[in-house]
Amino acid sequence: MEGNEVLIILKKIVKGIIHGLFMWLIYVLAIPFIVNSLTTAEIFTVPTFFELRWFLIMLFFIIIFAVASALKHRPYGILLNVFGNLLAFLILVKLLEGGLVTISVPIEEGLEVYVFMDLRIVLYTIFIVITVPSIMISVYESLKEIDEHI
Amino acid sequence: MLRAIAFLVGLSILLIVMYPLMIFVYDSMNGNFYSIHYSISYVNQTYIVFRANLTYLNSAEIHDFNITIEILSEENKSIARSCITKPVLKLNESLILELTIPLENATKARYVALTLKGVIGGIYPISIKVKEELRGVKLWKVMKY
Repeated sequence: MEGNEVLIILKKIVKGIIHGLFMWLIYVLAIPFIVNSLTTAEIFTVPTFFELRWFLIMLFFIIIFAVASALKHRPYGILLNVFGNLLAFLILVKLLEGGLVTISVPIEEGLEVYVFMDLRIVLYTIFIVITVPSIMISVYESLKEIDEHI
Repeated sequence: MLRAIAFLVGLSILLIVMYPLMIFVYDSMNGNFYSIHYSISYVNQTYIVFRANLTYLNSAEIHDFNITIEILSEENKSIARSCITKPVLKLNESLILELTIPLENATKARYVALTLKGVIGGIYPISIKVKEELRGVKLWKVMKY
């Protein structure tokens, strides 16, 4: 393997790591943090960087997208990319409790408030307008590049 | 380029869909959801009329709005109940609910429970349950008449 080729692969891996970090940042940190800061009640458990569970999820994202990026011109690269995108969406579904959110809001003594919200439409919209296009575009771009290589 | 266009279109659709929810949450965060006042509007020897006046203070419209008010005893048993439905509830609109309660039951009243149901902007179903002690109204005072 020539030095140039190694450099290209390393570049792809770094690109994949950045992609993984970006997905983790958006789906696992940013969306829960924004939703929580909009409401008085804690809808999500906002993960901290030091929690092992969330650290492992971040590592998982990074590895998936790094490997997907390194295998860009191969079918496994496409599959891993699709898997990574679906995984990000599934984490969001899990954080949003399937879209059916129940919050207990403590206001004052002697007053109990329970709020139930059906946010499934938000999940459907995210899936249709964010997840599906990103999967389709990555598959389309990979297939196009494979075609050019052949 | 393709990715950027898809991202912008996706984000725009997401914002349009989430617009009523964002308005609702923003207004609620500023304490503008609803205000409710309880009063006893009429008293005679055998009955009292308990009145609840609800004013909606949120900018997001609520469709198929349904409010149920229930007076509960110490043991959470229902003493009186009233319900009202409105196709669309808009900002600053008021609803009045009246409950006629026999005086003997009114003395047992301890809590007032509200159940509000509706669809925010016609998209997001919401249900809110509020239970509070009857501190402001003091039904037992009626017995002194």
